Formats: sequence, structure tokens, C-alpha cells
Amino acid sequence: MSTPRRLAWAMHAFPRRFRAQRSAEIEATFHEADLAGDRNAYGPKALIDVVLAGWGERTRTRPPIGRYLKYRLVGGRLEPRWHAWMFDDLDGWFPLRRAAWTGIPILVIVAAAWRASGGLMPLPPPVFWLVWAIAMGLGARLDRRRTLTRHGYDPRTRTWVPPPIVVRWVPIPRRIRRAVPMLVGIAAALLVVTPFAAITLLLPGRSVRSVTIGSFSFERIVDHTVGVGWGAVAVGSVGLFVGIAKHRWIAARTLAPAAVVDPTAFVVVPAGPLAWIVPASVLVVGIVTSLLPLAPLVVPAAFLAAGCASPGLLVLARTARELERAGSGEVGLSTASHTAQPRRVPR
Amino acid sequence: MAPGLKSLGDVDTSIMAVLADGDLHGYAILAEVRELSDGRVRLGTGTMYGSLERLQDGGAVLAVAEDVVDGRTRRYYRLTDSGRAALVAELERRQQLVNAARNRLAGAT
Repeated sequence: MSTPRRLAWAMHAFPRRFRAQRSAEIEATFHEADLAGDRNAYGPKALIDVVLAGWGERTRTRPPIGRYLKYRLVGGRLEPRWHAWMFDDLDGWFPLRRAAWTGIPILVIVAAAWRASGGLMPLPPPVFWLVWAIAMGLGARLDRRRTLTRHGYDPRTRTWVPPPIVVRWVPIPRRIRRAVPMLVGIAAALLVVTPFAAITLLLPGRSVRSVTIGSFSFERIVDHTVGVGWGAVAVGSVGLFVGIAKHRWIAARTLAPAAVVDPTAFVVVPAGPLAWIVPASVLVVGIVTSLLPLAPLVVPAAFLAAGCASPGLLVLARTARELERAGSGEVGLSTASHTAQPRRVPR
Repeated sequence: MAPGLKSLGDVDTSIMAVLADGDLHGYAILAEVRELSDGRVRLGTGTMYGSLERLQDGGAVLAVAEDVVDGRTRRYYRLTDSGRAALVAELERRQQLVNAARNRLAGAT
């Protein structure tokens, strides 16, 4: 490797924004030192010094661990002093970083469900992780836009827009509502659950047995792989709850006391009651169906069916967003997605 | 102390000291620091730019001009008023430390 290339490689230790501003200058300084007769200008010691300084700069300019975890795990907002770091974070390997952070909770859930089933639940096959990686890649693009918007930037130009005037419970005209990617959250949760449901359905070890209670008799599917059906329910419920609780939490955090009632620029509307109806319904339906005679079959089948709809939900949310961005048409398509999540509405 | 600076280390102090009597570009800062210390201190380029970035963020140093010499980019840095005040305070602190140490040495002998 030539010396300039070694230097360029070492300079990757610095944050992206730092390199954009200073790489030419640093290269020139190295070159001048070399021209001045410094035989170790490009030596290992100098390059290690660059790497160490780069790591130091990264450490200095990254948010504290608490804010970092909040930002990474639940979409918390960062203060303006960390926005430069955030821009760097959203570029480059962002999809991989995001996938890694999302993968950890999934691994925990899978491990917990596997343990709860006494080792009977099959572990996700490699294809599951492939599907998951693709879903993460697609989700990263949406998440990048949402992160910028949440911090007050235009996602396309990355320019800062004036802070919103926050008003509580102000009804907004339907035509100017913006699509909210809650559907995306649900779809992502279902994408996680679906492979488990499919595996559960396809498992051997089921038999139909006639059950008689008093004068009432019915056929019941007996699941010999105890815990597998419940594993799907648990994973599905946790996935949905985590996703929706996250949206709800952000919505609550975005709100502020209504000090100014002058909706001239933006309105942030809190999550409506539907935010609770959706997860509550999922839970109730899950419990009820699990008590049904055909529960071991019905529950995973329901999740499988819902999971099949998740790509459709993604497309629906995307289409709604595009429609609204173009400023055309009523936003009927996105109405269903206005259940949770703060909405910033230009007026 | 400049508003955004918590403390000044040796590298920061050296850089600010050589900027005290005029604007300098990156390589000139390295050379001046070496000269200031009679060749004992050889700042690494990475270390210097890391420190410059920190000083700039803290408002102690300002990039004032940029030019291209023989195809190489040079950026000139200047010590700000708050940076100058921070340097003076730091030198006084060090001087007090030196005086205290000397007094103790004198007392011991």
C-alpha cells in the first residue's frame, strides 16, 4: 500500500464530517513534513498517532451513553450539539449499525422463547436472518428519514426547519395529515413473527383427538410440542408491544404543554386512542384464540396470515407518503396509519 | 478559560502558545512547537489536528484563511481573545505550580 493510501486508511479513524473538512489539509501537512526531510513523516508512529487521534475525536464528539442508547433503541431525540454526530451516524454503515442494534433484542426474544419452550421450539433457520437483513435494509431508509424529521430537519436537504408550535389535541384537516409509519412498525414486527408461525404450523407432532365435556363433544388438535404455539404468541405480542410502545413513547415525549395556540407553522398531535386499541386488541385476540379448541393451529395461522399482509402494509404506508409529498389527492390511504406517532403538519 | 473548554493539556497549551504571536498553518504549528521546546516535543499530525478541532469547538482558536500552495491546502489558525485569556490563565496556573514546587524543594534542602 502506498503511503498516501496508508494515510487515507488511517484517517478513517476520524469521524466522517472531520474527514470531509480536513482530509486535504492533513494530507498537505504530511506532505510538507515529508518534503522538509522528516524521514518518518509517513512512518508507522505517525499513522498510529492519526488513528489514536481519530478515535479520541470520535469519543469526544459522540453523545453520552444514556442519550446514545435512547437514540438508538427507542428513537429518542438528541440535543443540537450532537446533531453533527447524528448526520454521520445516518450515513455510511447506518443500515448495518441499525440492524445490529435491532438484532440484539430479537436474539434475546428468540432465546427467551426457545428456553421457555424447553428447547422444543426450533431456532430460526438461516433464511430467517436473510429475510430479517433485507427488512432491516429497507427499514433503514425509512428510519433515516424519520430520524431527520424528528430532529427538525428536512430529510431531503438536511436543512433545519423552524421548531414547531406545539398544540395539544388540535384536530387537523384530513387532507394535510402526513402518513405515519406506524404500519411500518407493525409490519416489521410481523415480519419477525411470521417465520416462527410458519415453522410452528409445519411442525410434526400434532394429532386430532376427540374431547368430551359433559354432553358436549368436539375435535381438538393436540400439540405435542408444548410451548411452541405459545412461543409464537409471546414473540408476536412482545414484538407488537415493543414497536407500538416505542411509537407511543416518542409521541408522548414530543409533546409539550400548550403554551402557544397559534397554529401557523406546525402542529404536533398526540397519539389518539387507537394507539391503545391496536395492541390491546392483539392481546385480547391472542388470549382468546389461544383458549379455543383449535388454538395451536389458529394462533400461528393468524400470525402467518397477518405476516403475509405485512409487505402490503409497507407498500400502503409508502404510497400514502408519496401521495402526500406530491400534495395530491385525499389521504384516504394513510388514514389507517394515523393511530400512533406524533404528526408534524405544515399548515 | 474559553467557554467550551474544560481544561487545557500540554498539547493544547503548546499550540495556543505558538499561535499567540500570529496566524499559522498546520505544518508551521508543528515546526514552531518543536522549536519552542528546543526539539524535545514533536507533535504528531493527528494529535495536533485533534487538538485544533477541540480548541476550535471551544472557541479558543479560529480558522481565518485558506490557501493552496503548490497544490497543497493550507488553513491558517488564529488565537481568539477568549483563547488568549485561557492561555494566560493556564500559564499562571502552571507558574503557581512551579513556584510551589520550587518552594518545597528549597525548604527540603
